[in-house]
Amino acid sequence: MTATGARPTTTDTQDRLDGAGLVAMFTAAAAALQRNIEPINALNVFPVPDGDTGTNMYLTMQSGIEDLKKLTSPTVSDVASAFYSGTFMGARGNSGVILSQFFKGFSEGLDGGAVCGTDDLARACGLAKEHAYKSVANPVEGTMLTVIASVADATREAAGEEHDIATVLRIASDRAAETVAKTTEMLPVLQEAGVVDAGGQGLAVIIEGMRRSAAGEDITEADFDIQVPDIAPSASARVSDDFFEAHAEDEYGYCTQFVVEAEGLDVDDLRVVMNDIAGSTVVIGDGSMAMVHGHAEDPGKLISTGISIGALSKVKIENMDAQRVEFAAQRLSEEAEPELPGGVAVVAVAWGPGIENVLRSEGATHLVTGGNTMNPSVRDLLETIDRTSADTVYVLPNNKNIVPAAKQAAEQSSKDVHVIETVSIPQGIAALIDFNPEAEAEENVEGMEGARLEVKTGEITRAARDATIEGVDVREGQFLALLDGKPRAAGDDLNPVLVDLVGQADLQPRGLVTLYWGDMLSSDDAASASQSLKAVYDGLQVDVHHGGQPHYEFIVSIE
Amino acid sequence: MPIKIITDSTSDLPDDIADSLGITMVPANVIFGQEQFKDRVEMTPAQFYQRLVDSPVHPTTSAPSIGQFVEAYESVGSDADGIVSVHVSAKLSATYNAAVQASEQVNLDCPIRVIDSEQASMGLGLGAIAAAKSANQGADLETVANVATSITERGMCVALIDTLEYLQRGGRIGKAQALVGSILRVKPMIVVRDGEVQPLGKARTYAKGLAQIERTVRDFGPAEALGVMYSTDEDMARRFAESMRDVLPDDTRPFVAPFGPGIGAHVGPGAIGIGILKASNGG
Repeated sequence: MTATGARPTTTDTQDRLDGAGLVAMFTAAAAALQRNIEPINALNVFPVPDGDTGTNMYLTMQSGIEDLKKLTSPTVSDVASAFYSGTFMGARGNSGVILSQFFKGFSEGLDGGAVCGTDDLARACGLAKEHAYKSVANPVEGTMLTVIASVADATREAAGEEHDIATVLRIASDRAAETVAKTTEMLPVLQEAGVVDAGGQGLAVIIEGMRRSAAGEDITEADFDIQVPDIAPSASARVSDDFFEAHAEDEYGYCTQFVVEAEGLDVDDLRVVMNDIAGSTVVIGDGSMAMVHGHAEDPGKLISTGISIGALSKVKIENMDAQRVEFAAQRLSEEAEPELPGGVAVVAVAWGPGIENVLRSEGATHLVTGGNTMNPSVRDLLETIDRTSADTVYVLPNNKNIVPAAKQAAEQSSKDVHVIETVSIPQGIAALIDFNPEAEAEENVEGMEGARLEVKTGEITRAARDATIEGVDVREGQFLALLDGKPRAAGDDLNPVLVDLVGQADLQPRGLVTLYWGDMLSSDDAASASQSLKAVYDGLQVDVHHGGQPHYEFIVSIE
Repeated sequence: MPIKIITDSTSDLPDDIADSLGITMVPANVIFGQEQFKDRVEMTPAQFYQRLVDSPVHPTTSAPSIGQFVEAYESVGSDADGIVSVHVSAKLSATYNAAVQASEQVNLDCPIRVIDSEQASMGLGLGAIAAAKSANQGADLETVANVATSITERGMCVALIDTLEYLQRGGRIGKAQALVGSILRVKPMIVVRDGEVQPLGKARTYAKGLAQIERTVRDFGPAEALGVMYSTDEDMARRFAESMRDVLPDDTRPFVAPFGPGIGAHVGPGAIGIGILKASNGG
């Protein structure tokens, strides 16, 4: 089969892919995902700032790309294997972990091969599917897994008749896109939110990126961008800080970031321009605003280019060499901390300076930065686990989306690592309070798992878009309250929403509510919230602590 | 003539029970600044907690003097075949040492056995009761002393404390030091084990703390005797005692008594505790 029309095409079909070809394919897939980070992030079931699927999948892919740079004249087996190990270590969030397991199977399918034909590709995709399903305790259809399965089916069916790699990938890509569209109908939560599954969409973008590389097409073509589902500008703006921080790593010179605002902004043009003058560039945004991130020896070039386009804000320039020195010093000081008796350490994922202090005071020995919108990678967690001088390490992920990466890190470490599956900060604190450094691991795991389930977690944030979720109507910008991850109340005023939330939590006699207030509030706001609660619920004890977390006005522990 | 039992006021034994069993309690001393009070004799627990909260001066406690023990031994020694003197853990108080020295100085015909219970509060008190019952049934010195010594294995004392503040001020915190430093208001739980105060855990609410204490007590085994102690909340103590009744034999009632000042100065207001004596046969 040959492509038609104006598409740039290869004149010959290609029935064998070599190592360099696979490098190009993965690189194109990562670039394709990068272009679509923001729309994929916007495919959020609940309109709250949480695990950003597009960001997580892209950073996972990018980690694989980094490992490819070390290879010289590799076989497809070398490439697939290096790419898998990179994605494994860089995996962030649920979607990143599943994606890394996809590439684990993919590399097994190509193991030992110098080149890859369509049969090999089909086998690789089949094993990729197997590993992806295995990585999830309870596989759910209507998610990324379903899209992966459709890709495996399509490649298997096509490989019997087609010997052109690009053709097989086109069939797989078309099938993936069809499956993505069906996910809305397959899962009630997606149907209610009116979105397709974000992880599935990300996977489809990856396959399409691979196809375009195989077909010799340019992935920067405008028709490649996926449809943006009613994305609220406020959501993208909020995501930016964490996203930039996730990228502030490696390399040389100055890490430069800013936001540029201009009418009729062409984000794609800006990305091309920035790519020429900086490394590790990330440019995301819409027609009126863009967030720019890049690494360059001369940050002045990025800034002056930005100014020539529009008004700049949130400008941040950091010397990465200095950062490295500072980071090394910080590590040393952390090493110098007294360890718990008996060679035991507790690694907790924390979000906000106040919450970090509370976790430390309750016995966490090492902290990893991360939370709802910024999921640490397997590597981040593994490095911290291995940095402790302890033989036994307890890990508190404190977020649903970080649990899978924590488990991967635990498997990877040579230490005796126990992941307590805390899905919120209140659960993490409850588990820590139950922790006894002198008890046996089995006793601690049982006790901490029990303790985390004894608290209820409330969260209050601002809705990123209008939505009706589980009977709660919320408009963009309103406060939205979640109880153990489920929307429960919404409104324009913070205190009534908090009172409503706590009222739905089945308060115990002599119950205790602990409020951790976020970085957008003052201690006066928190005191006023506490008084509102006490005025309504007689005998309730309310403790108020500075949390300092971004995006969430309150994180609430109810026990 | 029977064997006589002597203990000290940190046993938190209710007076009427001590009197009915013929147990002599030597009072510890409570000191507020320049003023000194004999525990329970010159100051009731209720008066003590009022003053503990109101007074700018933190009280200290001191062990009974050697002289107080000499006096106690002499008062019971004339009509006894022997004395078993059982006391609060020597690692927590100088009481045991004072009793040992008094036993060496006093000039009596009957032998005196001074025993370190390695326990405190009702963990000690229930053991003193068991020894007294054995003595009242006519057991010899060796047998009664063995009962008293068995407290080190059979006795347990656990407490849920509203704040660590008083334990820290009193300097009797030992290994419970690990509980210090929390930003959150946690209620530490302590256990007297191997003669020392050790951390048992911490909880954010009474409900959770008491649930954990209940588990610890039930894991310890069926009890021969059980006492619930409180510093200021008698109602909570009575409810807790009632909920724990089933670890006792059917015909046995739990005691409910305040923590005396000797313990109260360290645990502070809002504390609740439980002492238990494990059943001696098969338990």
